[in-house]
Amino acid sequence: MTLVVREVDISTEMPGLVDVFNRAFNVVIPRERFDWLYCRNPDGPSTAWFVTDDRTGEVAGCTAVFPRRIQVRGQRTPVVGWNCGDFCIMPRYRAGGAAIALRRAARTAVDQGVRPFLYAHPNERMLQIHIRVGHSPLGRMIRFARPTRLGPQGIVGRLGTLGLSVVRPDRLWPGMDDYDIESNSLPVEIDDLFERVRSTIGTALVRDVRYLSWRFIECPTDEYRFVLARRGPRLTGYLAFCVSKDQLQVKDWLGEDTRAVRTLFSAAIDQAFTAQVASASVTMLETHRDLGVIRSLGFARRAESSVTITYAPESLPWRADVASADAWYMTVGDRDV
Amino acid sequence: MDVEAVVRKFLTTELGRDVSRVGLDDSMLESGTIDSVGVMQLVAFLGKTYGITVEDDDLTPENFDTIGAIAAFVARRQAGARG
Repeated sequence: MTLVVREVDISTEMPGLVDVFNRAFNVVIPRERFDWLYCRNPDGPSTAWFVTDDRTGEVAGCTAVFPRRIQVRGQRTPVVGWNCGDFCIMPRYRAGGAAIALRRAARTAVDQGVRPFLYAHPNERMLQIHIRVGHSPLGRMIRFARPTRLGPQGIVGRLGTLGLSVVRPDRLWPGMDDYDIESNSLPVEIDDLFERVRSTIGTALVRDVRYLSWRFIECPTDEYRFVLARRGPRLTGYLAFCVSKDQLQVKDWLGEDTRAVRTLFSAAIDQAFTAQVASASVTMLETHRDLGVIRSLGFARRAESSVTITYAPESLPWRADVASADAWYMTVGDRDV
Repeated sequence: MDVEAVVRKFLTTELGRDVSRVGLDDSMLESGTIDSVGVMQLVAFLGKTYGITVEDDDLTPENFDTIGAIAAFVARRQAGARG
């Protein structure tokens, strides 16, 4: 068998691409999700590859990478890197070769200068394929949670939940910003916020209103809401969250200082109580600058974690600025849906 | 212990798969008994156990879909190494 990798023409082959993923996972993924993710991304259209069996012409698998504008070490002019996303291999081709060929396609394109680097959030199993093709672990994404409801149901549970709502470490801090909740739009002041914070967060996705509106408001698969923190008229932070699986899940945030971050997460806890879910949950890179603040608000480390990987050629002058976890501001929202 | 028995033991003890009813020529990829990642783990094991090197181009269903194919692949590699 000879496996051949070729780039997918997104403009004409989208139906075939969707079909491959649906057959590989034996589910029906809404076409709308692919149109949004592959074609309407404000950072550019995705690049995808098929791996085919040269003998039969059958598609053995598919993968895609999604452009992201990334500011490297706070520099004003962003670069466009690739976020590795969708990946599938048909069952009869799961002998390793097809998976490696697809993973190598993105790396080869980086080596050829199509993009300067890539990053990915593989599960523990896919991680081995990334390692085989020479990608490097960047760091661990770790989860923290703050209980907002106690079981069992009944009087004991209600008393416990009442206790959780009264004992609020986040409320012990003097001086909080005001906040409100939005769901359908984001203010353009987010661009000013990002510009003010830009130089302090190192290497990070460009969190401007254009990107955030696409990523969270236009997303067809999940419904997100936002906490917007203000100090007087000035926007001091935003936090994107959704409610799913009996949790309030914080997906992304940016606060201009510790007070703003405290406000954002305290508001998220408020929303978790209002939604009567079991906990507020947040996942971030283990080196995230706000980790200490989040801990101080009563969030405790949970066992789940996953590895983020990156690849940049040795010749890239600023390789250390994208290949070191210490350089990054990364949240779970930076991965794809 | 022959290669077939060694592979069966690995699949059972290391990957937690029940291969007691998997015949020598039964597809393990189609049935989901093993997948890309399982093959990678098996390849690492075969490398340590038999001292063989497995290239990316070797990672095909022809070589890793069945227990018989795996045993034949190892035998070819050992013969090649000796030749």
